Amino acid sequence: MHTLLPLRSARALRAVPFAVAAAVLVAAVARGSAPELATVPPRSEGEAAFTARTALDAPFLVLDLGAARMDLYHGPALLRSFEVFEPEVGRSRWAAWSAAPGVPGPGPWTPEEMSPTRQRETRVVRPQEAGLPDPSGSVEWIPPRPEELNPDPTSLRVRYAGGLTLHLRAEDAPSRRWELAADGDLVIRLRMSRPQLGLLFRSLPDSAVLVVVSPPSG
Amino acid sequence: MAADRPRLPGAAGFVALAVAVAAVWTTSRPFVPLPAASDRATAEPIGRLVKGAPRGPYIVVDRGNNRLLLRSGADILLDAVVSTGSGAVLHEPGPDGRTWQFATPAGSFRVLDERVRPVWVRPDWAFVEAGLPIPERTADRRDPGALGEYALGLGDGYLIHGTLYERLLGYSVTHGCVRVGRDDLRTLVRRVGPGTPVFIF
Repeated sequence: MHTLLPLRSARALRAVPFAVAAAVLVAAVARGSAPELATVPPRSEGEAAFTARTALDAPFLVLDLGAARMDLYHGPALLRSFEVFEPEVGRSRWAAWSAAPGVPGPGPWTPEEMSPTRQRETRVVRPQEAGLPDPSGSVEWIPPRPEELNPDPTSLRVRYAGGLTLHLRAEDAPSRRWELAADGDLVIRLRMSRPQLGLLFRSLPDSAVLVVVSPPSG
Repeated sequence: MAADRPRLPGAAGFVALAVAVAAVWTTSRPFVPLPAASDRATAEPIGRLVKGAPRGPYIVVDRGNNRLLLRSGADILLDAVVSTGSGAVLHEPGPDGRTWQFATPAGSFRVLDERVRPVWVRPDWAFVEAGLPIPERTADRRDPGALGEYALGLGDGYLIHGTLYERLLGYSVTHGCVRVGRDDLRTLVRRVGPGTPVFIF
Protein backbone atom coordinates (compact mmCIF):
# COMPACT_ATOMS: atom_id res chain seq x y z
CA MET A 1 0.00 0.00 0.00
CA HIS A 2 1.42 3.33 -1.01
CA THR A 3 0.86 6.67 0.54
CA LEU A 4 -0.11 8.98 -2.21
CA LEU A 5 1.32 12.43 -2.35
CA PRO A 6 0.69 15.10 -4.88
CA LEU A 7 3.20 15.10 -7.70
CA ARG A 8 4.49 18.56 -6.69
CA SER A 9 5.33 17.34 -3.16
CA ALA A 10 7.26 14.36 -4.47
CA ARG A 11 9.45 16.59 -6.63
CA ALA A 12 10.10 18.87 -3.69
CA LEU A 13 11.13 15.89 -1.59
CA ARG A 14 13.71 14.86 -4.16
CA ALA A 15 15.21 18.32 -4.09
CA VAL A 16 15.81 18.25 -0.34
CA PRO A 17 19.30 16.62 -0.43
CA PHE A 18 20.49 19.10 -3.04
CA ALA A 19 19.22 21.97 -0.96
CA VAL A 20 20.91 20.65 2.15
CA ALA A 21 24.17 20.08 0.28
CA ALA A 22 24.07 23.59 -1.09
CA ALA A 23 23.39 25.02 2.36
CA VAL A 24 26.25 23.07 3.89
CA LEU A 25 28.65 24.26 1.24
CA VAL A 26 27.53 27.86 1.54
CA ALA A 27 27.95 27.68 5.31
CA ALA A 28 31.40 26.17 4.96
CA VAL A 29 32.52 28.82 2.49
CA ALA A 30 31.14 31.56 4.71
CA ARG A 31 32.93 30.12 7.73
CA GLY A 32 36.24 29.62 6.03
CA SER A 33 38.09 26.39 5.69
CA ALA A 34 40.68 26.62 8.41
CA PRO A 35 40.07 28.53 11.62
CA GLU A 36 42.60 30.97 12.82
CA LEU A 37 43.51 31.10 16.47
CA ALA A 38 40.85 33.20 18.11
CA THR A 39 43.06 34.36 20.94
CA VAL A 40 46.70 34.17 21.87
CA PRO A 41 47.31 35.55 25.33
CA PRO A 42 50.44 37.65 25.65
CA ARG A 43 53.46 35.57 26.56
CA SER A 44 54.02 37.89 29.50
CA GLU A 45 50.81 36.60 31.15
CA GLY A 46 52.12 33.06 31.15
CA GLU A 47 55.50 34.21 32.37
CA ALA A 48 53.85 36.04 35.26
CA ALA A 49 51.81 32.94 36.17
CA PHE A 50 54.97 30.85 36.02
CA THR A 51 56.89 33.24 38.25
CA ALA A 52 54.04 33.22 40.77
CA ARG A 53 54.12 29.41 40.98
CA THR A 54 57.88 29.34 41.52
CA ALA A 55 57.34 31.25 44.75
CA LEU A 56 55.18 28.45 46.21
CA ASP A 57 56.24 25.22 47.90
CA ALA A 58 54.33 22.92 45.55
CA PRO A 59 54.83 21.01 42.31
CA PHE A 60 53.52 22.34 39.01
CA LEU A 61 53.81 21.67 35.30
CA VAL A 62 54.65 24.47 32.88
CA LEU A 63 54.00 24.04 29.17
CA ASP A 64 56.02 26.54 27.17
CA LEU A 65 54.51 26.57 23.70
CA GLY A 66 57.23 28.95 22.57
CA ALA A 67 60.06 26.59 23.43
CA ALA A 68 58.22 23.32 22.74
CA ARG A 69 59.02 21.93 26.14
CA MET A 70 57.23 21.03 29.30
CA ASP A 71 58.90 21.22 32.67
CA LEU A 72 57.93 19.87 36.04
CA TYR A 73 58.92 22.17 38.87
CA HIS A 74 58.64 22.17 42.62
CA GLY A 75 58.57 25.86 43.50
CA PRO A 76 61.73 27.28 41.92
CA ALA A 77 63.44 23.91 41.47
CA LEU A 78 63.35 22.14 38.11
CA LEU A 79 62.52 18.47 38.62
CA ARG A 80 62.19 17.08 35.10
CA SER A 81 62.10 18.42 31.53
CA PHE A 82 60.17 16.96 28.63
CA GLU A 83 60.62 17.83 24.97
CA VAL A 84 57.35 18.03 23.04
CA PHE A 85 56.60 18.09 19.32
CA GLU A 86 53.88 19.21 16.94
CA PRO A 87 51.83 21.30 19.35
CA GLU A 88 48.26 21.91 18.23
CA VAL A 89 45.40 23.75 19.82
CA GLY A 90 41.78 23.12 19.05
CA ARG A 91 38.42 21.78 20.02
CA SER A 92 36.33 18.83 19.02
CA ARG A 93 35.15 19.14 15.43
CA TRP A 94 31.58 19.85 16.49
CA ALA A 95 32.49 22.41 19.12
CA ALA A 96 34.77 24.14 16.64
CA TRP A 97 31.73 25.21 14.66
CA SER A 98 30.58 27.50 17.42
CA ALA A 99 33.88 28.74 18.79
CA ALA A 100 37.25 29.03 17.12
CA PRO A 101 40.12 27.61 19.16
CA GLY A 102 42.52 29.86 20.92
CA VAL A 103 45.63 29.36 22.98
CA PRO A 104 44.34 28.82 26.51
CA GLY A 105 45.08 31.33 29.20
CA PRO A 106 48.02 30.73 31.51
CA GLY A 107 46.00 29.26 34.33
CA PRO A 108 46.99 27.75 36.70
CA TRP A 109 44.79 24.89 35.56
CA THR A 110 43.80 22.38 38.24
CA PRO A 111 43.90 18.71 37.21
CA GLU A 112 40.67 16.75 37.46
CA GLU A 113 41.22 13.48 35.70
CA MET A 114 43.96 11.49 34.04
CA SER A 115 43.44 8.81 31.43
CA PRO A 116 44.65 6.11 31.57
CA THR A 117 44.53 5.93 35.33
CA ARG A 118 47.60 4.78 37.23
CA GLN A 119 47.65 1.48 39.04
CA ARG A 120 48.64 1.67 42.66
CA GLU A 121 49.22 -1.20 45.04
CA THR A 122 48.67 -0.87 48.75
CA ARG A 123 49.66 -4.02 50.51
CA VAL A 124 48.98 -4.92 54.10
CA VAL A 125 51.98 -6.50 55.80
CA ARG A 126 51.21 -9.29 58.24
CA PRO A 127 53.54 -9.34 61.21
CA GLN A 128 55.45 -12.55 61.54
CA GLU A 129 54.90 -14.74 64.51
CA ALA A 130 57.99 -14.93 66.67
CA GLY A 131 60.25 -17.73 65.68
CA LEU A 132 58.14 -18.84 62.75
CA PRO A 133 58.62 -18.12 59.08
CA ASP A 134 56.27 -15.51 57.69
CA PRO A 135 53.17 -17.45 56.57
CA SER A 136 52.33 -14.85 53.94
CA GLY A 137 55.82 -14.92 52.55
CA SER A 138 55.88 -11.12 52.79
CA VAL A 139 59.62 -10.94 53.34
CA GLU A 140 60.27 -12.44 49.93
CA TRP A 141 57.40 -10.62 48.23
CA ILE A 142 58.70 -8.30 45.53
CA PRO A 143 56.30 -5.86 43.90
CA PRO A 144 56.30 -5.15 40.18
CA ARG A 145 58.62 -2.42 38.97
CA PRO A 146 56.90 0.91 38.30
CA GLU A 147 57.23 0.40 34.54
CA GLU A 148 55.68 -3.05 34.90
CA LEU A 149 52.80 -1.78 37.00
CA ASN A 150 52.24 1.24 34.74
CA PRO A 151 53.80 0.61 31.32
CA ASP A 152 54.60 3.48 28.98
CA PRO A 153 51.26 4.50 27.46
CA THR A 154 50.86 5.51 23.82
CA SER A 155 48.48 8.25 24.80
CA LEU A 156 47.91 10.28 27.93
CA ARG A 157 45.10 12.70 28.56
CA VAL A 158 44.83 15.05 31.51
CA ARG A 159 41.63 16.99 31.92
CA TYR A 160 41.77 20.22 33.86
CA ALA A 161 38.92 22.04 35.60
CA GLY A 162 37.54 24.88 33.52
CA GLY A 163 37.52 23.13 30.16
CA LEU A 164 41.09 22.36 29.16
CA THR A 165 42.45 18.98 28.16
CA LEU A 166 46.10 18.16 27.61
CA HIS A 167 46.43 15.25 25.22
CA LEU A 168 49.87 13.72 24.78
CA ARG A 169 50.72 10.97 22.32
CA ALA A 170 53.87 8.97 21.86
CA GLU A 171 55.59 9.85 18.61
CA ASP A 172 55.72 6.16 17.68
CA ALA A 173 52.09 5.47 18.53
CA PRO A 174 50.73 2.84 16.13
CA SER A 175 47.78 4.98 15.05
CA ARG A 176 47.82 8.62 14.12
CA ARG A 177 44.22 8.98 15.18
CA TRP A 178 43.64 11.21 18.16
CA GLU A 179 40.94 10.43 20.65
CA LEU A 180 37.87 12.59 20.57
CA ALA A 181 37.95 15.56 22.86
CA ALA A 182 35.30 16.17 25.45
CA ASP A 183 32.59 18.42 24.13
CA GLY A 184 33.55 22.04 24.33
CA ASP A 185 36.93 21.47 25.91
CA LEU A 186 39.85 23.36 24.53
CA VAL A 187 42.51 20.78 23.77
CA ILE A 188 46.25 21.08 23.52
CA ARG A 189 47.66 18.13 21.58
CA LEU A 190 51.33 17.30 21.77
CA ARG A 191 53.66 14.50 20.84
CA MET A 192 56.61 13.30 22.83
CA SER A 193 58.92 10.32 22.94
CA ARG A 194 57.39 7.22 24.45
CA PRO A 195 59.98 6.86 27.25
CA GLN A 196 59.41 10.46 28.28
CA LEU A 197 55.66 9.97 28.12
CA GLY A 198 56.07 6.96 30.40
CA LEU A 199 58.18 8.92 32.89
CA LEU A 200 55.59 11.70 32.96
CA PHE A 201 52.68 9.27 33.28
CA ARG A 202 54.15 7.45 36.26
CA SER A 203 55.38 10.46 38.18
CA LEU A 204 53.13 13.45 37.47
CA PRO A 205 51.91 14.49 40.92
CA ASP A 206 48.13 14.40 41.25
CA SER A 207 48.16 17.93 42.58
CA ALA A 208 50.43 19.48 39.94
CA VAL A 209 48.63 22.40 38.32
CA LEU A 210 49.40 23.38 34.74
CA VAL A 211 50.67 26.76 33.60
CA VAL A 212 50.52 27.49 29.87
CA VAL A 213 52.94 29.99 28.36
CA SER A 214 51.99 31.26 24.90
CA PRO A 215 54.38 31.35 21.98
CA PRO A 216 55.99 34.71 21.37
CA SER A 217 54.06 36.94 19.00
CA GLY A 218 55.42 37.76 15.60
CA MET B 1 -0.48 5.72 -12.18
CA ALA B 2 3.20 5.48 -11.31
CA ALA B 3 3.67 9.19 -11.71
CA ASP B 4 1.44 9.79 -8.72
CA ARG B 5 3.56 7.68 -6.35
CA PRO B 6 5.88 9.56 -4.00
CA ARG B 7 9.52 8.87 -4.82
CA LEU B 8 12.31 8.97 -2.36
CA PRO B 9 15.10 11.40 -3.06
CA GLY B 10 17.29 10.07 -5.80
CA ALA B 11 20.73 8.61 -5.32
CA ALA B 12 22.25 11.67 -6.92
CA GLY B 13 20.85 13.80 -4.13
CA PHE B 14 22.38 11.65 -1.45
CA VAL B 15 25.70 11.62 -3.24
CA ALA B 16 25.67 15.41 -3.45
CA LEU B 17 24.90 15.64 0.23
CA ALA B 18 27.63 13.20 1.16
CA VAL B 19 30.15 15.06 -0.97
CA ALA B 20 29.23 18.35 0.65
CA VAL B 21 29.50 16.96 4.16
CA ALA B 22 32.80 15.25 3.37
CA ALA B 23 34.15 18.45 1.89
CA VAL B 24 33.29 20.42 4.99
CA TRP B 25 34.57 17.63 7.24
CA THR B 26 37.95 17.52 5.61
CA THR B 27 38.46 21.21 5.04
CA SER B 28 37.32 22.37 8.45
CA ARG B 29 40.23 22.05 10.84
CA PRO B 30 39.26 22.20 14.46
CA PHE B 31 42.90 21.90 15.47
CA VAL B 32 45.36 24.61 14.59
CA PRO B 33 48.99 23.60 14.55
CA LEU B 34 51.26 25.99 16.31
CA PRO B 35 54.38 26.82 14.35
CA ALA B 36 57.25 24.42 14.73
CA ALA B 37 59.87 25.58 17.15
CA SER B 38 62.36 26.17 14.37
CA ASP B 39 59.95 28.39 12.45
CA ARG B 40 59.05 30.84 15.10
CA ALA B 41 60.84 33.47 17.03
CA THR B 42 63.04 31.77 19.56
CA ALA B 43 61.49 31.97 22.94
CA GLU B 44 63.89 32.52 25.76
CA PRO B 45 63.85 29.63 28.18
CA ILE B 46 61.19 30.15 30.78
CA GLY B 47 63.64 29.00 33.43
CA ARG B 48 65.51 32.30 33.19
CA LEU B 49 62.66 33.89 35.13
CA VAL B 50 63.13 31.70 38.19
CA LYS B 51 64.19 33.51 41.29
CA GLY B 52 65.32 31.60 44.32
CA ALA B 53 66.33 28.46 42.45
CA PRO B 54 68.70 26.23 44.42
CA ARG B 55 72.30 27.32 44.05
CA GLY B 56 74.49 24.37 43.35
CA PRO B 57 73.47 20.73 43.30
CA TYR B 58 70.16 19.52 44.63
CA ILE B 59 68.55 16.11 44.89
CA VAL B 60 65.35 15.12 43.11
CA VAL B 61 63.64 11.83 44.00
CA ASP B 62 61.06 10.58 41.49
CA ARG B 63 58.98 8.03 43.41
CA GLY B 64 56.87 7.12 40.40
CA ASN B 65 59.92 5.87 38.54
CA ASN B 66 62.25 5.01 41.44
CA ARG B 67 64.92 7.38 40.22
CA LEU B 68 67.16 9.82 42.02
CA LEU B 69 68.54 12.77 40.09
CA LEU B 70 71.31 15.02 41.25
CA ARG B 71 70.66 18.26 39.41
CA SER B 72 72.32 21.59 39.11
CA GLY B 73 69.78 23.71 37.29
CA ALA B 74 69.21 22.21 33.86
CA ASP B 75 72.20 19.85 34.22
CA ILE B 76 71.74 16.31 35.46
CA LEU B 77 74.86 15.25 37.37
CA LEU B 78 73.59 11.83 38.39
CA ASP B 79 70.63 9.71 37.35
CA ALA B 80 70.41 6.70 39.68
CA VAL B 81 67.95 3.83 39.99
CA VAL B 82 66.83 3.66 43.61
CA SER B 83 64.25 2.03 45.83
CA THR B 84 61.51 4.04 47.53
CA GLY B 85 58.67 3.33 49.91
CA SER B 86 56.39 0.38 49.26
CA GLY B 87 53.25 2.09 50.53
CA ALA B 88 52.53 -1.07 52.51
CA VAL B 89 50.55 -0.88 55.72
CA LEU B 90 51.52 -2.67 58.93
CA HIS B 91 49.12 -3.14 61.81
CA GLU B 92 50.49 -3.99 65.23
CA PRO B 93 48.60 -6.91 66.77
CA GLY B 94 46.53 -6.22 69.86
CA PRO B 95 43.70 -3.92 70.83
CA ASP B 96 45.93 -0.85 71.11
CA GLY B 97 48.07 -1.77 68.13
CA ARG B 98 49.63 0.98 66.09
CA THR B 99 49.54 1.31 62.31
CA TRP B 100 52.37 2.35 60.02
CA GLN B 101 52.36 3.11 56.32
CA PHE B 102 55.71 2.73 54.61
CA ALA B 103 55.64 5.59 52.11
CA THR B 104 58.38 7.96 51.06
CA PRO B 105 57.01 11.42 51.81
CA ALA B 106 56.67 13.97 49.00
CA GLY B 107 57.69 17.57 49.35
CA SER B 108 60.74 19.75 49.81
CA PHE B 109 63.40 18.84 52.35
CA ARG B 110 67.03 19.51 53.11
CA VAL B 111 69.87 17.21 54.03
CA LEU B 112 70.11 17.69 57.77
CA ASP B 113 73.13 15.53 58.44
CA GLU B 114 75.51 13.18 56.72
CA ARG B 115 76.60 9.99 58.44
CA VAL B 116 79.52 7.81 57.51
CA ARG B 117 79.17 4.09 58.20
CA PRO B 118 75.79 4.72 59.81
CA VAL B 119 74.32 2.35 62.34
CA TRP B 120 70.63 1.73 61.99
CA VAL B 121 68.73 1.96 65.24
CA ARG B 122 65.78 -0.20 64.41
CA PRO B 123 62.47 1.48 65.21
CA ASP B 124 59.47 -0.28 66.76
CA TRP B 125 57.90 -1.24 63.46
CA ALA B 126 60.95 -3.26 62.47
CA PHE B 127 60.36 -5.53 65.47
CA VAL B 128 56.59 -5.63 64.99
CA GLU B 129 57.03 -6.58 61.36
CA ALA B 130 59.46 -9.33 62.32
CA GLY B 131 57.24 -10.59 65.10
CA LEU B 132 59.87 -9.89 67.72
CA PRO B 133 59.48 -8.24 71.11
CA ILE B 134 60.34 -4.56 71.14
CA PRO B 135 63.55 -4.12 73.13
CA GLU B 136 63.79 -1.52 75.83
CA ARG B 137 67.51 -0.81 75.42
CA THR B 138 68.73 1.18 72.43
CA ALA B 139 71.78 -1.03 72.30
CA ASP B 140 69.51 -3.93 71.38
CA ARG B 141 68.16 -2.02 68.40
CA ARG B 142 71.49 -1.29 66.74
CA ASP B 143 72.01 -2.85 63.33
CA PRO B 144 75.37 -1.83 61.83
CA GLY B 145 75.87 -2.26 58.13
CA ALA B 146 72.23 -2.28 57.09
CA LEU B 147 72.36 1.28 55.74
CA GLY B 148 75.48 0.94 53.62
CA GLU B 149 78.42 3.31 53.70
CA TYR B 150 76.61 6.62 54.04
CA ALA B 151 73.26 8.03 55.12
CA LEU B 152 71.81 11.47 54.51
CA GLY B 153 69.22 12.42 57.09
CA LEU B 154 66.07 14.23 55.94
CA GLY B 155 64.28 14.38 59.30
CA ASP B 156 61.59 12.27 60.98
CA GLY B 157 63.72 9.18 60.53
CA TYR B 158 63.76 9.36 56.73
CA LEU B 159 67.15 8.75 55.15
CA ILE B 160 68.83 8.47 51.80
CA HIS B 161 71.19 5.57 52.37
CA GLY B 162 72.96 2.59 50.90
CA THR B 163 71.65 -0.93 50.85
CA LEU B 164 72.58 -4.55 51.21
CA TYR B 165 69.92 -5.43 48.64
CA GLU B 166 71.11 -3.90 45.37
CA ARG B 167 69.03 -6.43 43.41
CA LEU B 168 65.94 -4.61 44.67
CA LEU B 169 66.96 -1.23 43.28
CA GLY B 170 64.19 -0.01 41.00
CA TYR B 171 61.48 -1.60 43.15
CA SER B 172 59.25 0.13 45.67
CA VAL B 173 60.20 -1.97 48.67
CA THR B 174 61.47 0.31 51.41
CA HIS B 175 59.86 1.44 54.62
CA GLY B 176 60.04 5.08 53.47
CA CYS B 177 63.75 5.69 53.08
CA VAL B 178 65.44 6.06 49.72
CA ARG B 179 67.96 3.28 49.06
CA VAL B 180 70.79 4.02 46.66
CA GLY B 181 73.34 1.66 45.14
CA ARG B 182 76.89 1.80 46.47
CA ASP B 183 78.58 3.49 43.51
CA ASP B 184 75.81 6.04 43.02
CA LEU B 185 75.81 6.78 46.76
CA ARG B 186 79.53 7.46 46.66
CA THR B 187 79.02 9.86 43.75
CA LEU B 188 76.17 11.53 45.56
CA VAL B 189 77.92 12.17 48.86
CA ARG B 190 80.88 13.71 47.04
CA ARG B 191 78.56 16.45 45.69
CA VAL B 192 76.13 17.11 48.52
CA GLY B 193 76.14 17.74 52.23
CA PRO B 194 74.11 19.25 55.03
CA GLY B 195 71.85 21.96 53.65
CA THR B 196 71.49 20.45 50.18
CA PRO B 197 67.87 20.83 49.01
CA VAL B 198 65.93 17.61 48.36
CA PHE B 199 62.69 17.49 46.37
CA ILE B 200 60.63 14.32 46.43
CA PHE B 201 57.67 13.90 44.09
